[in-house]
Amino acid sequence: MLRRRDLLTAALGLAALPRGLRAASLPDRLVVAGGALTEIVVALGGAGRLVGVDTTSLYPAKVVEPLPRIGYIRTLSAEGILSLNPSFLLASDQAGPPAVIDQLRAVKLPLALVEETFAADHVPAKVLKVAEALGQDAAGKALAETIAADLASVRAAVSGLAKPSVLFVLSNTGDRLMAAGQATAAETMIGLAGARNAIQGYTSYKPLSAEAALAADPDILVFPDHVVTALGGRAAIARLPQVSVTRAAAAGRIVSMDSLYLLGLGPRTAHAAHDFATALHPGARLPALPARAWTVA
Amino acid sequence: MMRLAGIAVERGRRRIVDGVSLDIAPGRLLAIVGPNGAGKTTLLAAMAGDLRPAAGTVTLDDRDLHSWSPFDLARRRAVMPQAARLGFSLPVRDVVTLGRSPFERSHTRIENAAAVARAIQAADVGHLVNRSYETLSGGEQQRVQLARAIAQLDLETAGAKPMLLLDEPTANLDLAHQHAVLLLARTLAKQGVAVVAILHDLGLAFTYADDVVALHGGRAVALGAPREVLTPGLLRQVFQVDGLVVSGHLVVQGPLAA
Amino acid sequence: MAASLAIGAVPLSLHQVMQALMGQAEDARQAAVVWQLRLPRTLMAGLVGAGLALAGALTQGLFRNPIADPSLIGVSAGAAVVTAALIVFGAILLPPGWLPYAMPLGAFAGSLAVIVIVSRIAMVEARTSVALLLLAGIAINALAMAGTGLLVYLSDDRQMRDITFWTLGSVGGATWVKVAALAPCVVLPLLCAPWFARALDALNLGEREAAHLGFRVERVKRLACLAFALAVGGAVSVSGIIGFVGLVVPHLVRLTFGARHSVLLPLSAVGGATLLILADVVARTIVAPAELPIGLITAFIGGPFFLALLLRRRREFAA
Repeated sequence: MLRRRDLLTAALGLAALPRGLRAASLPDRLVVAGGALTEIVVALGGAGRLVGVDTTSLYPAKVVEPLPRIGYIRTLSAEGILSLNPSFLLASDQAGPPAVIDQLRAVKLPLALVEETFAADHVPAKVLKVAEALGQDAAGKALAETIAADLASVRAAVSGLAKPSVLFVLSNTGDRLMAAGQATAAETMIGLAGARNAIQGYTSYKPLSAEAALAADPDILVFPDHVVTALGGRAAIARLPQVSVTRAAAAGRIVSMDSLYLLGLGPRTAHAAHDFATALHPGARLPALPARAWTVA
Repeated sequence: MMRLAGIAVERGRRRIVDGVSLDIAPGRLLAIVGPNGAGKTTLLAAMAGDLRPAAGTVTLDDRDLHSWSPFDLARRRAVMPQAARLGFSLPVRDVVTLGRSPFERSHTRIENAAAVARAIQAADVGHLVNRSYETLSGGEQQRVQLARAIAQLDLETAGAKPMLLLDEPTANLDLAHQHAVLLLARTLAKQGVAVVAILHDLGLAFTYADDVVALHGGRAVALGAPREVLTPGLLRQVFQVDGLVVSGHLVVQGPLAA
Repeated sequence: MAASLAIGAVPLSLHQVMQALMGQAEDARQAAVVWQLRLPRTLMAGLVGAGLALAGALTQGLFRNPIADPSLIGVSAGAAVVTAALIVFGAILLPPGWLPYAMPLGAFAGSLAVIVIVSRIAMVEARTSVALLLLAGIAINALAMAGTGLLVYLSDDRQMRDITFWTLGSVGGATWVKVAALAPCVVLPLLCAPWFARALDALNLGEREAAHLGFRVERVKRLACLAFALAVGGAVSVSGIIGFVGLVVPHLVRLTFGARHSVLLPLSAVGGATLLILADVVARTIVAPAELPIGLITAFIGGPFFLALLLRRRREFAA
């Protein structure tokens, strides 16, 4: 833990800042609802102050695993959160139910709701918001600028490449595949990685039919790692009736990645986009991003 | 006084009762007899106000029966159904007490309790009062329903006397109780109640009724005193049985040889 | 009630709760937990439980049938589908700020529509057919599930989670505003209970028999449906679908205190309130600091109970 914080401060060039000042400005008992926000808090050096997180907070595992869970981000319980005796609640604007947020306001728990959108450039803005809420403006500014710079590097690296079309399957229930449409983190990452979403015409994730897959006829299929495992490997996926008709399946171009890493829209987004781009453009040589404290678990 | 004037009653599109005219007078026991499908139950339903006649009129005290409010009507006539199952089991006493529903406001609790006790005694169900209705035999249930109907009769208030409509009151009863029920009906008639009973047993009708109406194919084929109605000729024509009167009792001798 | 106020994820002694209630809490957060969280939540659980159990007792009396439960015959689902539609489309269709008021109204309309349809289908010549009642319930539940499924398809991820969460039922979102909105939906039918009790007792004999006793049966049925829809719609709109309360509670009351509605209706309300308050205590403590949907708890209690009921009375139902 300590090592990580030292690494972080070094990376941010904040080593000179008196330790006591930073500690005093962070709320000392922090509950976070939202996986990206938890990552940002940890990246800002707040790991030691976390007293509870929601079930979407899965990274960094070493930090969050020992912590009490306050439930799923949309089904929080006011009293459950209060039982952790928090001094501050940092929550995504996706957190709910709304009545529970109202209840927490009613009992005057200091809290901040941070807007979450699917835009990649929103990640640095989110960092600034979190930092502001925690009174860590300087650290936040440095972190946000670093992430923005990394994002810009990824964009520059893929700018000259041809854009393959990508069909992104988020999950499977039985043999039904849920494919990403517009307004999804998947589409954001496809764009960042220098590709385009093969699915057009609907928002969110919807069940994929063989005909829709054929009509989209993607160059590349993307599956989260756990879905690849669940479906029995890449070869088995290529034979699925919904996708077997596509060019991608015929050519065996099936990419898999850790979906938490890829779709988190947190501090690791630039690095995830870089890794994704590398997988989508196997011929291209993309310059590596510098390792950051928050990308080394 | 209830008066049926040329009434026709339909169920769905079928005319079940046609052109029946008769008066139901206080103090008399009227028996409705007839073979299966003759329209007895439908006629009784028209008297109860359940069915509106398609033609003709039913009046009570010279007022159209269907202009009476259900509440006012309930204070003037009680109906004992052929068979009634409860949705949820109740103790017998509670079932009989339901008969007092129309009098809950107008009578004191003590008066109502007394009326319930009288009805329980009259219908000979005193030994059943704490039993659950569901556990009774068919005949016992029928007597409880009779007690409930009797509890609904207001005999104390001065003015017009109530009506009691009985749909096959003896159907499930043993012989002794069949006679007991009709004796009770006669007693009530003597107290001024207008009693109407559908009876299958022509012997009972002959013995206990003041008036008999014989239905056949929905029409009243005979109406009058038992001796005038239940003649060997009518029995043969309507019921296809032979019968004769032996020392004041009607003896039915079984189906006619074909 | 005391247990519900004293037990929760935040450890407070009964003494501390009493102090908070009397405005003498040692710290502001303890007072806030009691006043803003536990008290409205306990009241809401009580009102929802009372409403559902009362509604169950009302329909059972109306249909003369012990298996008429708001969730079994599809009424809760009817209310749910309207509320789900409001979750998805409310923000677009309604002026801002109307949604909290539209939800109970919509749920009321949904339950009223279903109870009218179900009673039309199930009543054949003044008798209720158990088979038709349940089949109509199955059909409406399926239809509502399809409707909810369609709404889930049309909704974004966030709305979808809301709908899913909400179909499991919870009283976790209790606020004083919701308690205030719900109270008349439950209290009004409860105030009418003595009037209903006489009529439903008569209806126990049969519809014709009730009419012979001077009751306007059609009017009683209409008003009972209204009271029923009000209670169920109110309960569903604040808490989602909480099943089996309307089945289990009136049945237990009937077993213990008999079938007379003057006793059954008020005691069902009391019993329903008690059951749901206790279920909520379990729901919010068993996996603290997270919590379980209360609908799961009541289903775990009610499902086996319903099976036992079927087993005991199967001959009767088969007839």
